[in-house]
Amino acid sequence: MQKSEQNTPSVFNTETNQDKLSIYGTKLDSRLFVGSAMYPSPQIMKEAIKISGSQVVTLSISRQNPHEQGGHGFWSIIQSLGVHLLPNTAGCHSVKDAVNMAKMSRELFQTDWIKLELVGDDYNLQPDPIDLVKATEILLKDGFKVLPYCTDDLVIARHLVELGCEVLMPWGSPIGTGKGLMNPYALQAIRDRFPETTLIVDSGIGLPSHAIQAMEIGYDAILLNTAIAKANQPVLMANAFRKSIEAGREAYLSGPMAEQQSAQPSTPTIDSPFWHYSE
Amino acid sequence: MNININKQQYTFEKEVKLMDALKLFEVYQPYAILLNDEFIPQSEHEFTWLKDNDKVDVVGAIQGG
Repeated sequence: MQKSEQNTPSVFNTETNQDKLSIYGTKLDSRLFVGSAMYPSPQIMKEAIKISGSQVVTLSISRQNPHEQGGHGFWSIIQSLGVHLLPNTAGCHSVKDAVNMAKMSRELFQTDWIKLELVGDDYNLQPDPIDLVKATEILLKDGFKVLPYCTDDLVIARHLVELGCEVLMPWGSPIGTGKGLMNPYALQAIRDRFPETTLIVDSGIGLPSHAIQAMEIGYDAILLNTAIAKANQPVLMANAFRKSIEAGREAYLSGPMAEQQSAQPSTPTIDSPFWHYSE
Repeated sequence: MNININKQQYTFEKEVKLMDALKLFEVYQPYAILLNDEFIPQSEHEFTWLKDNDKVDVVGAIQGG
């Protein structure tokens, strides 16, 4: 990975060695956000979230079904975790639907954080960039703290930042694909151009190595669900992601070496008894 | 008067408020309401009158990514 010109992040205090993630002013220790869907069982979900160390869990809303006690069992587990909730607007195809869903989520979950998703294409679930900007503007004016799920388009990112977004969540690759970072160049460009914005890679992460790659180029956090929930052993994978994200963050903060075109000996050759052999 | 609550039909002999209609439906906390695809804040439930063929959606928490 090419060394970035990015400076040490503003939230890192070198004197106290404090490195906090900032979500609209809320400081967090963990840089891993996890989803709550698709686990083999509620108990495994709970254990995986706990071992991940995540302080933010995503969830959603749908019509209550009295036969399932309105999702009361799931809600009890989530409450017992004591984490920040990040409701999403999954499945919304219009600005109106997304705004309505955000308002319901705010009342229901008692949080003004919203993971804003607006589907623009049903095949790859690509966000609709135009409607995303429109909905973001409406929700920010209504007091929401919007975390928009967007593509890696630099100009859309700029529009969202100019509207007042303090957090952006560009995709690594389409939701649930596990393909990792499709376009590291584009993600790097967003990082370099918006050094003050909290950037979270959301979706497409399949392996801890994908997460490390994003963290090494300076992304502030990772949001994932499928990679943990669909692993053969979700709890073990959650632990692996926790460690990888910590490693990636420390690598970024440490300032990686600059890449070289030619070999550079790491062992000093001066006074080597064999130095003249190469002449 | 017919009211659709979460895709089930309920019949009322006279006009009812949203909060009274919800008593027929087994609502679990926490929940939020859409009336004819518009969000109705909890503070307005007891003041909102329903009309014939109104559609009410009661939503709760589910898993999500």
